[in-house]
Amino acid sequence: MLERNELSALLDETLARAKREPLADILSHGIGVTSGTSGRPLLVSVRKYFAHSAELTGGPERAICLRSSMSTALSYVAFTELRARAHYAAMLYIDPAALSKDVGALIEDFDPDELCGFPHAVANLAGVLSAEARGRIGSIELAGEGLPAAIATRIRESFPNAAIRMIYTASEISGIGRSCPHLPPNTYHPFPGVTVEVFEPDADGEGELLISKMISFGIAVRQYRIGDFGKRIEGTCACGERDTFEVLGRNGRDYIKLAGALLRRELFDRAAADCADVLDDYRAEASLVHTPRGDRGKITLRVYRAGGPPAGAMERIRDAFGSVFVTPSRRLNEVIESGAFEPIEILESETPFPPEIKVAKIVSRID
Amino acid sequence: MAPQTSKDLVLDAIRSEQSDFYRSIWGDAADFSALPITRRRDLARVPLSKRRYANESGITKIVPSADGTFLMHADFASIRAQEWGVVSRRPMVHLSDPYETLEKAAWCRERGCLPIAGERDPGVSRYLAEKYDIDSLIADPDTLPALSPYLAGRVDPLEAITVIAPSFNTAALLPFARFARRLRLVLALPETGAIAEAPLDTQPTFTPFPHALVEVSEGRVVLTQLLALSTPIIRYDTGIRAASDGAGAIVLEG
Repeated sequence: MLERNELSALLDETLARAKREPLADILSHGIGVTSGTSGRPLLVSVRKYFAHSAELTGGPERAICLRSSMSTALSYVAFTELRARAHYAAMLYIDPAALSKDVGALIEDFDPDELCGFPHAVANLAGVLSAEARGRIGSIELAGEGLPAAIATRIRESFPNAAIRMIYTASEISGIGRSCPHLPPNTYHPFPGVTVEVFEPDADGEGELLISKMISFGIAVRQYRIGDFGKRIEGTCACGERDTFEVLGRNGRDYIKLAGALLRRELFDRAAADCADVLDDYRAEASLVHTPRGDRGKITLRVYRAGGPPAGAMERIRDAFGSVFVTPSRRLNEVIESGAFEPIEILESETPFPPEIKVAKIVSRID
Repeated sequence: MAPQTSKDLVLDAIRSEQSDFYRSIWGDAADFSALPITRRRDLARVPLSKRRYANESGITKIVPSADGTFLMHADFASIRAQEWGVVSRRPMVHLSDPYETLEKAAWCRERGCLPIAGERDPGVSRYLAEKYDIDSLIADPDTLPALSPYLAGRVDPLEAITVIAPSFNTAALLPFARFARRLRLVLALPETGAIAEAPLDTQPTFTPFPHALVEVSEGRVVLTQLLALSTPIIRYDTGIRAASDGAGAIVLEG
């Protein structure tokens, strides 16, 4: 098995090679940067855009890119350049945390026929677009996080004329698999040249996913432990593919993607340490709140201090946790202010939290 | 893309079947020097779909302004045609405006460079700069200071630092000169593209790019981009306060 630190060395080799040898085809390459869900430090590599670039040529002309990081947005610039070789192609980047009716009017001026981005962001975009604009969306590509059933339903209902595809990809190794119309959400066929295995499957066939593929400069990645749980699906798909796998979720419940944000335990721990004089322990629960304006993230923070928190403690705790970066560019307070998240709910626990063998400080309550 | 002449631009705009944006501003005026000035509020008032004169592939941008937020489209051909930057192997593009980051990164890619984009978390940007071992930097006055710890820690200076903005506090930028072999100032607006450049100096003199026809009217830069842009920029009041030096260059004021 290839662990993250070993993959890091391979990715560093792509940077070293790009430094030594000028790339012949810049337009097919870009720099990939992980978001932090796979751990820290961030992994940086030279990527070759080939895995699913064929999916992007032909058809849609005006794509909205709903992703948080600039490196991912830049990959969509590259895809637009690729499409432009064959037909008219334009892209408009939208920060998923900045959706509003005003932005909706601008998007309608752009008149998109394709949406690309996080599932929750695409679902929320429906709330700022007219029915006419939503009806003109012919293609949706979802990536970057899992697809809860409720959001899948909302997307299908909001964009009735859109062919929806999901891409399973990781910034550190690019595309892994693609959905097909015959498969349920979060289920994929591997891209050509990609092997997906399940490590030590349990009785239900579930286990950690291991990914093997070639990355840029012909460097082989073998059995990379990507950090997701999943299982193989036996049988032949109605499309004819015999290789199918399902992604069940992220290993380590303390890395949670929610409403365009990434909640990381290490940063929450740091916030707790910042107010250690008023707080002994905490637990956080992440959930989705369904509102008429779209889904919003919510964090419920339970806090414990022996003898009870002193006066003013709650405000200090709120400030400390609100200062946590939840995207490369935004703190939790900022995404709350933008409306992507509800205000933090802080509840006092009168008793210490029960001891656990593996403490999960942040858990997801998303279905 | 060969630069257009101002006369060609005006005639194309007058005759266009795609948009009457400029006809509605100019009325019967056809002589370049007599054309009414276009302002930001004119762009904000008319949706992009109504002031698009060409359908070329590219990046559409959201431009915020006090006159209202509007879209502009930067096509790949005109991005490529603007000669504002320094070509290097491993540039970092780190601008406050994400759309400017994407457009300037596209410029790098069009020139065979593989850029890395900065993120708004300054710690992440510093990490990325070091990891990629950047050799040049494209930044603005707001993002540049955040990279100071990284720049100060480098053994060798960068090939170039290009600072892009509509105005500059040169005193605040002078300390950064030691971090690069060249520190260049590029006068630009999101809706117009690059206008003029100057080496860093206490009172820099900006030389317009070959594609930028610059006038100074009532103390402000009036710009015509001699490029076939999706929304052409013709006698556009940039709002940038400046004076002509009498030799074709401009000195910023205020």
